[in-house]
Amino acid sequence: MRAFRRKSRGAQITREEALKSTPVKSAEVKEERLETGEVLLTYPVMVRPLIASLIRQFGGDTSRVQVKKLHLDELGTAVWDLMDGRRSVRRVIQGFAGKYQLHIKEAEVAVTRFVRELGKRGLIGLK
Amino acid sequence: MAWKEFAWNGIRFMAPPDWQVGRIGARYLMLEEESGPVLEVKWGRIQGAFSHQVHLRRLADLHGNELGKSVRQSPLPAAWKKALGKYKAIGFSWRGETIGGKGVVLCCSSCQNVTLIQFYQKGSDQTKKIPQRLLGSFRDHRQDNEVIWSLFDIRATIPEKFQLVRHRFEAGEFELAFASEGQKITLHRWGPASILLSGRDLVQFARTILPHPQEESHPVIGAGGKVVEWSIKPSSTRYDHWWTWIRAKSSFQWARLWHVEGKNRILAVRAEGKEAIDLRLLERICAGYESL
Repeated sequence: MRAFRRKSRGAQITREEALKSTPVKSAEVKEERLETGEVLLTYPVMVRPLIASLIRQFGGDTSRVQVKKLHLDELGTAVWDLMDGRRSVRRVIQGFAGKYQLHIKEAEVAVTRFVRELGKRGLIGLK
Repeated sequence: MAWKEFAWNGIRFMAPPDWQVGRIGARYLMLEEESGPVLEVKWGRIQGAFSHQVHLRRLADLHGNELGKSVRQSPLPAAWKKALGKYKAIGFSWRGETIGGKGVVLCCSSCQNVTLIQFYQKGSDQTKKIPQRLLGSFRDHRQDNEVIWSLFDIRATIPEKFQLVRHRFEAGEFELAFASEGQKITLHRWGPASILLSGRDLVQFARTILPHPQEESHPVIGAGGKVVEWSIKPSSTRYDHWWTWIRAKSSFQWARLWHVEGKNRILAVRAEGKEAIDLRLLERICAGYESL
């Protein structure tokens, strides 16, 4: 048996499939609209068991759920607003490119990077 | 929708509007659509005798064992032959498990440029008219010693003697740098301007992104502060001139930024060199540099 096994990356999807999928916001995320029009997201994160035990040893809060905040800038807010649970990633890209007069490829790179980042944090899922 | 122009490092052609640039090299372009790659173009100047067979063998080597074995010369379709006109060309094809390709190696006798163009074919969905029209629009040189650069949403015309030394296409920021005999010209493009200029004007933006080396305030030219320009000209004294050479620094520096409001972008041309660059040339480059 190998001592260290490479972590599975999970099923890889093609670009076409990714563009067809629809981003759906997590029900756990709370959204607050700031005066500037930008959005502040608040979401729970589970602390890893090892980290939680270390916190406990140092007398910290033993609760394994922590709350994190993410402040989206104007561009991030625009993409977040376009993700209404019905629009596909492709349509979010088109909407974003149209709003800021961006080249479609440039908008695709920016939106997919943002969607991936939100996905990593568990703020959205793709259906 | 109308076909769009792709022009990069000496070559130009028209392609369907939904084909996008997937990969870029100094002398390489790969175009793709949503389902995957659709076109590859690779080119370069040859010295001495040219052999189509040698280039086909190189292509086979590039594809690796299995695909490489399937690369074979194939007759050039009559429509392709007609579209390519003056070029000396041979056709080839290859087939893998899920994808195949059909292409042409062509050589231009006037500029000694050799280009490999291959169309990817998935099943039989490739429209026959696309390669014909694309090949008909293909050009690998111009008569006026100028080179057109047109990718994504920028288009510029640069004298042939300036060679591409760096390119960067990132979301929000494009950069193309050219050099010739100690002179350097860089094209910049930023967007969206409405975000970049929110809470500041173009002068303040220029100060952060292309600062004047001597931290002088940027003179604003043009109407309504839509153009910012600064320059440092070579010193007239012999000592300063010599000292600049010793320090290997550019004694001439020039930059112009302008806001293309209708396109929501900011364009800039920056030039530097040990000797002054002809301002008429810089004016011409600025006039031809546009956001599509």
